[in-house]
Amino acid sequence: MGVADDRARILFSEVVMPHLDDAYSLARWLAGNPHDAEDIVQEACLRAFRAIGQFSSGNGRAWLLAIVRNVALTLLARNRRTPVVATDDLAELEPAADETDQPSPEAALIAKADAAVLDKAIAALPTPFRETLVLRDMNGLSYKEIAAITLSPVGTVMSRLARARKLLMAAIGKEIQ
Amino acid sequence: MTFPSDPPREDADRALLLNAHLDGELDAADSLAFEHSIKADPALQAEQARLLALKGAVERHATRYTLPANVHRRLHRQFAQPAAPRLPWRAMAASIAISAMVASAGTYVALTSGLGRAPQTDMQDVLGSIVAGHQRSLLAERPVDVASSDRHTVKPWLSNKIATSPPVVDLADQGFMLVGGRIDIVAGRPVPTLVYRHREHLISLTAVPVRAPQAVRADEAQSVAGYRVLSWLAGDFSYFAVSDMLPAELTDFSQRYREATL
Repeated sequence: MGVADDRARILFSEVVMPHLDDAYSLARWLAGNPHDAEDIVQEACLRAFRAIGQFSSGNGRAWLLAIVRNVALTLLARNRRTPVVATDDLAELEPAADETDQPSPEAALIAKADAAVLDKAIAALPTPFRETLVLRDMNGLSYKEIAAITLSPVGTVMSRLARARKLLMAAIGKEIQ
Repeated sequence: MTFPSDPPREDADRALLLNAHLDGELDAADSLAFEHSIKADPALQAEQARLLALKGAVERHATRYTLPANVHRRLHRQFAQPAAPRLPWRAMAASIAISAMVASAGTYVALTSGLGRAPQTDMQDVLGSIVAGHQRSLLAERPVDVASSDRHTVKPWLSNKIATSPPVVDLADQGFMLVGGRIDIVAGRPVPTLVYRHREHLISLTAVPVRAPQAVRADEAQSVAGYRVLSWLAGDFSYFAVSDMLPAELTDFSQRYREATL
């Protein structure tokens, strides 16, 4: 037991520990509160620790964030505290034309958004858009990494990201004007 | 990633390309082509300004959450910190039991024969980490990892996390309310701890698994780092109750717990 366990601990230190802030940030934005975010990271670490022998190469951060996302979505689905959108329903949320035809606020106005306005607007995004935006603009992942984590085609990542930003601009416009 | 060689006509497609362009996701050739179309299109320029303003605002102002330090420490202890190498775990658990008894009077010979005697320093380490777990829990936002007065919640949670849990009993009607449970690290290993409240005092009851089931043997309360520790052996565990209560109250608690778990 000792040797295998020590080896898992060493791997965990190298692969997982450097990315705990990223993990928490994603969990926090998905869960919407610190309590659930801690539980999500705890559970994700337990799963990562158990599966660490199967982690073979490269991107520890993307690997951990994929686990965090799974744990978070499972928890959200169970709690139903935050509305969850199943991937199958997304077509309804990605309308062909967009109601974003309404004029977006001016760039100067968007630039005035402060933390309170931004946090509120991001928190209000439907989950698929929020997770894509957070993975890109908070965690700084590439489209390809986001596609792998969310099990979506790159094209879907692109459209969700564009849509998320469009929704943010509209929300900021409403909030500030 | 491939893009249509023709300039995209659809507004939606152009919005995607604009985002990808600003995110640095287009390769050099695609970027160059797209910059040309931006120059030729005032609407696209305005959209670019808006997106840049948004990206800038998010980067500067949106909250960056970082893992609370106490959770970071806990995860490090639980999954990253190398195990204490001195003794195999089973032997360690046995030595805890032995040392606990050595610390009390009269049973020295009977207990040390055949099993070997663990160095006294190991016992001090064990007591030290158990008391440190109690201290940390008092400083943390919550003294428990799972907060519940329902024993049917606490025990499965512990069993699920570390595959072992002492009997969980509700002693609320006797003045000791179950607060929840947490996982402490003792000698480099995760062990279950139950938390009870008695008036304003918290009691951490840490249960260290032992090799073979034991008959109940109680020890005298001792003082470690300003806290009182009462240890006893029962069943599959060596128990350590830590609190700042009076010794008599701690003894009372241990008796009630043992009676309830018989």
